[in-house]
Amino acid sequence: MSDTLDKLISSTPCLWKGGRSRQQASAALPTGYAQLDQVLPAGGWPLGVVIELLPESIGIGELRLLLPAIRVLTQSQRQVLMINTPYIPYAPALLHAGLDLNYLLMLMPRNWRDALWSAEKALLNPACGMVLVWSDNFLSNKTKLDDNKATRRLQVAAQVNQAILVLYRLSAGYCQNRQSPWAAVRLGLADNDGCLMIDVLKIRGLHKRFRVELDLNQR
Amino acid sequence: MNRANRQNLRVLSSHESTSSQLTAVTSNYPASAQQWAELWLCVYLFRLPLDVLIADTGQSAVVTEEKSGRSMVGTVSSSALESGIRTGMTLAAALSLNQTLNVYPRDLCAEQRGLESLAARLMVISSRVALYTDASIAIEIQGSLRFFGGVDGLLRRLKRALDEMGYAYTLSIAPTVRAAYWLSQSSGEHKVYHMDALVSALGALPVQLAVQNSKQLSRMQRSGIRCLADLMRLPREGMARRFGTATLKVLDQALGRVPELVNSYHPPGVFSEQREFYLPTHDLNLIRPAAEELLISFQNYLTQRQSATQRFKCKLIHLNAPATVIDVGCSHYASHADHMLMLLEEHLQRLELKADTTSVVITSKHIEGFVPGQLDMLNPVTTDSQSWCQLIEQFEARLGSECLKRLVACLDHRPEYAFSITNRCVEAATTGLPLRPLWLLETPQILSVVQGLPQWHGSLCLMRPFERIEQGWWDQQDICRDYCAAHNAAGSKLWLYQERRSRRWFLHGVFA
Repeated sequence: MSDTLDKLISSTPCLWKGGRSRQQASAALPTGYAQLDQVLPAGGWPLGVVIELLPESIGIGELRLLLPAIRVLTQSQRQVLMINTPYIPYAPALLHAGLDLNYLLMLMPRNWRDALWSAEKALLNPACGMVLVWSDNFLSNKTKLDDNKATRRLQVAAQVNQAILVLYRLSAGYCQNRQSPWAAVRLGLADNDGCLMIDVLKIRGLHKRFRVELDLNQR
Repeated sequence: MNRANRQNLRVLSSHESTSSQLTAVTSNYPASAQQWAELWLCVYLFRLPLDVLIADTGQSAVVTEEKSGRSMVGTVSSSALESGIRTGMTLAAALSLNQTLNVYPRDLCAEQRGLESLAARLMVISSRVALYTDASIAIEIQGSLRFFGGVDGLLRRLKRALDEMGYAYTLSIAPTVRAAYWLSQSSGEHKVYHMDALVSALGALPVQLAVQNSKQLSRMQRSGIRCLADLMRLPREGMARRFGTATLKVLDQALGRVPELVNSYHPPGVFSEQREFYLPTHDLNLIRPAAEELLISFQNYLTQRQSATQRFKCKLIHLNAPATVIDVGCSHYASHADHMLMLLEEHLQRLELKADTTSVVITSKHIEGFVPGQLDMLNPVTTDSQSWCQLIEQFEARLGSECLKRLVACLDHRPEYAFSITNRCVEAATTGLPLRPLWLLETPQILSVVQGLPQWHGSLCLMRPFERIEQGWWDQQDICRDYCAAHNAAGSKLWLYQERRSRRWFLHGVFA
């Protein structure tokens, strides 16, 4: 679809746009990257949804992508919970990014079941703004929990207080048939010569697939 | 009391009669007089030995006491009174009057417990509650009158509490505690609000109340002194000589001429209550309601003391095994049963019972003064942060506190000392350092080197500038490293260092 056609459609208010009108009504959290805000249908990270991030490998900027949003949340005194982080989040770097560490909490549960339980509990809490879950080391185990069902529960929980659940999983270990239909946003992340290439695999309110290239260092 | 106040009181007492007028009268007191004035209410539990043992449902029952080897009738229930049984009879005589009589030996410990639990309960009426004798409780009510809307409202509240506990009682009100106690011993509800009215109110009471010594008592009765009015009519010097100063002192205390020291009741600083099961059980669904009941009782205890707790223990006592102790801690002060039950529930869910449980005990030694939450009407975040604190407690209860981590930045140039992980909220230090990675490895990972270049999922490309970080002689953690950023073919941006002494490469962070 061409840009002109998109512009024409959006300028006609009486036209029904499949699934898009609801999305526009709901609030969004600015991503902090103008380039990304423009292409996302809600004008930022949609609230009250599950966002699936599939980085190709670790260390390509998968957390930096979310830092501006986390900064806005912690500064407006919303709690952010990180569950099962692969390494220790480095406090000086987080402070440098402007985060208020008093509103950041890490949780290292022993198994996937506890991780899901705490994620759901946190999402249901009115003080919570965002929950980030790293699932790789748990899902590689033999614990075959029904992933679809879990994502659906988390999606419902996220809606209650308009919190965001971010689910990280490496795209290498990610098989297509385990794709959960309940995530509202699914983004593939890859590195492209120092820039972050965001492959929008799915986003609620848009039916096309597109790519955005983001330079995380120059905002 | 100075003369002006005394005159004022006298004027007021001349037109004081009913309790409904009292509130109006007291509010006209000069401030100094109101501070001085005390008003005591005494509750006399005349059937306490029986009431703590049985709930009086009309059965004939007596409590017996051992006196010089013989069982004597002590307290008598109302239906046993009708069959002619009186206090002081021998048990044999009582049984001959009524063969179906239920006989209970006196239990002094139960009486003390009953009295203390009543006193704890009456602390809602006033903070000055005293166990005056072993069957009476004195309450200072002057300070509570306005709150309860006068004596009538206060008495209504008091009687409701007494009726719920199922005690038979008489009560009276007087400006001194001893006068209130004496008045409560006689039948009828006496209310004396002013010092000046005391002499006439106490006059008709029998002299036995003031004199405990039986030899003196019989001497008084031989001299024709039968009521307190007779005693008060005697000249002080003569009375002190004939009957000793003790009687005089007691009388002076009752009339308010000499102050009397009253030991206030303080509820115990430790909470401990137990529920026993009829049969030992393995079922958590039976244990849970018992624990809930105990926690509600704990909540009442905390409410009465206006306090809260940070830590309590739930003990499950087994038949032939050591007790299971669940230690429940709260990061914030808890005083609500719902909240405490929710925390306990997380522990119970993970509990595996090894043996049958015979009883549940809730104890807490950590009772602390009431810590009110922020009562800011205009700041809605407060309730949110409270609920978040409760959630953190829930995480700690289920996952263990070691799973929960907070980050703090510290002022140190060495990367591994520039932060610390705690469980609590701490003020973070701000640092101004060059670019740092978002992930830090707990222990640096050694990297293999191929053709002079370190490897991590492929060959790494080093990026300038290098940053030299060294020193740390002050805590024997000396480091000597050259840090730099690097990326591999897949685009992963890493933070590496080369140890300058050994020339080995390590991975220390990831720019996520």
